[in-house]
Amino acid sequence: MKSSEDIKRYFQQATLSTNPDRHEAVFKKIRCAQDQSKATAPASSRPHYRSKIMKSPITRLAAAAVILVALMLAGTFWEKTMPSAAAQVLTEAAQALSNLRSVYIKAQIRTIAHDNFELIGLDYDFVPNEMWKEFDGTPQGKWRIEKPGRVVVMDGASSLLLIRPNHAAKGGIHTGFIGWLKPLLDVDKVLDSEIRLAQEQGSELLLTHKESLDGKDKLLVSVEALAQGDFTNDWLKNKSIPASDNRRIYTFDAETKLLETLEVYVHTDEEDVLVLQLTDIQYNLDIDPALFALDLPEDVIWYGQPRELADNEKYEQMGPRETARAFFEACADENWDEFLKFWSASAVDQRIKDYLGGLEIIRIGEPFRSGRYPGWFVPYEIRFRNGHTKQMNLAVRNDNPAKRYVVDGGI
Amino acid sequence: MSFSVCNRVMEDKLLIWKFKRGSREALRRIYDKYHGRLLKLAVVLTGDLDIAEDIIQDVFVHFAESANRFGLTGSLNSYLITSTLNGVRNQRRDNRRRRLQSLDEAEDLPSFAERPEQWAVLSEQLEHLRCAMTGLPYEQREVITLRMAENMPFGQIAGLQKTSISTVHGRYRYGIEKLRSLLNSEVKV
Repeated sequence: MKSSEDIKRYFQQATLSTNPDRHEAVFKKIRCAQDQSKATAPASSRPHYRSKIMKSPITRLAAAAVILVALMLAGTFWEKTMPSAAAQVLTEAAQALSNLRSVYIKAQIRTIAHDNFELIGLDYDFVPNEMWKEFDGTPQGKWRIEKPGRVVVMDGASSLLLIRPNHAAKGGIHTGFIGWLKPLLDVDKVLDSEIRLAQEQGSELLLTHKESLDGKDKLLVSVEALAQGDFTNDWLKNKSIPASDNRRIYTFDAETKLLETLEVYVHTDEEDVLVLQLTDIQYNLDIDPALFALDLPEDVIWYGQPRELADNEKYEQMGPRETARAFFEACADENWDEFLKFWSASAVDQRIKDYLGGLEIIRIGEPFRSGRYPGWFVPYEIRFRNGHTKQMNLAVRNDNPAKRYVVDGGI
Repeated sequence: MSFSVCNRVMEDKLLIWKFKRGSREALRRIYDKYHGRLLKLAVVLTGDLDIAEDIIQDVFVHFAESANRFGLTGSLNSYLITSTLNGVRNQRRDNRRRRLQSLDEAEDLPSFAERPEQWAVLSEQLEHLRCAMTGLPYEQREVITLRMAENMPFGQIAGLQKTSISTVHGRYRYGIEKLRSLLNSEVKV
C-alpha cells in the first residue's frame, strides 16, 4: 500500500453487513422515539397551512399552483419534471422582486481569493464573497462584489476591478469581470435568467415541494444544468459553474417570493460537491454610497485591451503556440518590453519579474480548446530560476481590437 | 437529462420534509440509507463495534426525536456525521472520566448489557482498518476517516475540529504515514 489513493480505496472497500433482525429491533426503538416525540410536540409547532395560505390572493394563487403540481407529481415524484410549473413560480418570484430597493448577499464559494470570480474548484476551500446591489431605477443599478483578493464596483456608469494589492481594470456597466455571479447579483432577474437558460440551454426546472417551517411557507426550485461547451479536452470542466453539470437549489419565501437560499452542487462521478452556498441575504437595507467607489493605490498597474503595435502584423501572424513560446522567451530573457506585447498591462509588477524572470522553457505542447473559452490553451513546462518546475496550460486569446494573441491566464 | 435518478441532496430534502410531518417511511428510508455509513464511521473512530452500535442507535433516536427542531436548510448528511462525531467524542470523554474513578466506584458502574446478537459484521478489510486506526491519535483518526470515508474537504474538517486548516493538513499527513505503515504491517496489497 503506497499512496493515499490506495488507502482511500481500502476505506471504500471496508464494509460491514448488518443482521436483519437486529436492524429491525433497532429501528423499532427509533420509531418509538419518533412516536413519543409526535405525541409531545406542542400544537404551536405544527404547521397550519390553510390559515396561512388563504391570507392573501397571491398565496392562494401560489397554493393552487403548488397543489396542482403536487397532484401531478404524486406517486412518481422523481420521474417527472415540471418545467412549466416551476417556470410559473419563478415568474411570480421575478414579479415580486421587481420593487426591490437593495439586496445584500453573502455567499461562500469554493474558489481562490485572488483569482477570477467565476473560478471554482471542487477541492478548493470555501472563500467568502459579499455582494451589494442598489436598485436605483436604472436598468443597471449600482453594485459591488468582493472577496478577499478582488473587488469590483459598478457605480452606474462604469465598472472598476481591483486585484489586490495594485492591479486594476476598467469595464463597462455590463462587465464580464464577475462571470456567473452577475445574474446572481441581479437577484430580481436571477429567476428570469434561469428560465432563459432552461429555454436556451436545455437546463431543467423542477418545483420540488412546498413546506411550512417556523410558520413560513417555502418553495423549493431546483435547476438541473449540463456543462456548456465542448469538453473533448476537459481542462475547463468544473472550473466554473457554467462549465459543470450542476444542480442549483433555490428556496423562496412562498408569500413574498423573495429568494432565501441558494445552493449549487457540481455533479461528479463519485459525489455531488457543494460549490456555492448563500449564507445570508437581506433586502432593502440602506447601502453606504461609498461602497460603490474604490480607492486605488498610487502604484496601480492597469490591465486593458491590447492596442495595435507599430509592428502589430508580426504578432498578428503568431499562432497560440508561437505566442506561448515568445512570451516565455521574453520572460527567460527578462525582456519586459517584449513581455508587455503579450501581457496587456501598463507595466510589469516587480513580483511578476521576480517570479518569471530568467525561467527556462522545458516544453511547449500542442494547443487545445476546452469548454466555451474563446481562446486556446497551450500546455507548457518551465523551470524557474529557483529550480522549481511547473506544468500548466497557458490561456491565450486574440478576440481583441489588435487581433493578436495575448496571455489571459494559466501562469 | 432525466430525473429518474435523483441525487442524495434532493432526496434528503424531500425525506426531511416528510420526516418533519411525521412520516415513518421517511424515517425508515433515512435510517436504511445512512446507518451503514455512520456505523462504519463510528467503528473506525472508536475501534469498538459494540460502542459504535450504541452511538449510532443514540444518533438515530435523537434524530427521531428532533423532527420539530430540525431545519430543512441544513444538510442531513452533515447533521448525521456531526451527531456521530459528537457521540464518539462524548463516549471518549465519559470513558476517560470512568477511568479516573477508583476501582471501588467502577464496580458500581452499570455494565453494558450483553446483546443477543450483534448488529453488524465487519468485513476483513474493515476489521484490519479498525485495528490499524486504533494505533493513531484520535484527532488524526478523525481527520483521516472524514477525508477518506466521507470525502470531506479539509476546511470543513477544520470547522468540525475547531482548528486551523494547516493543523488538519498536518494531522492528515502524519496520520496517513502512520496508517500506511500500520496497514502494511498487517496487509499485503
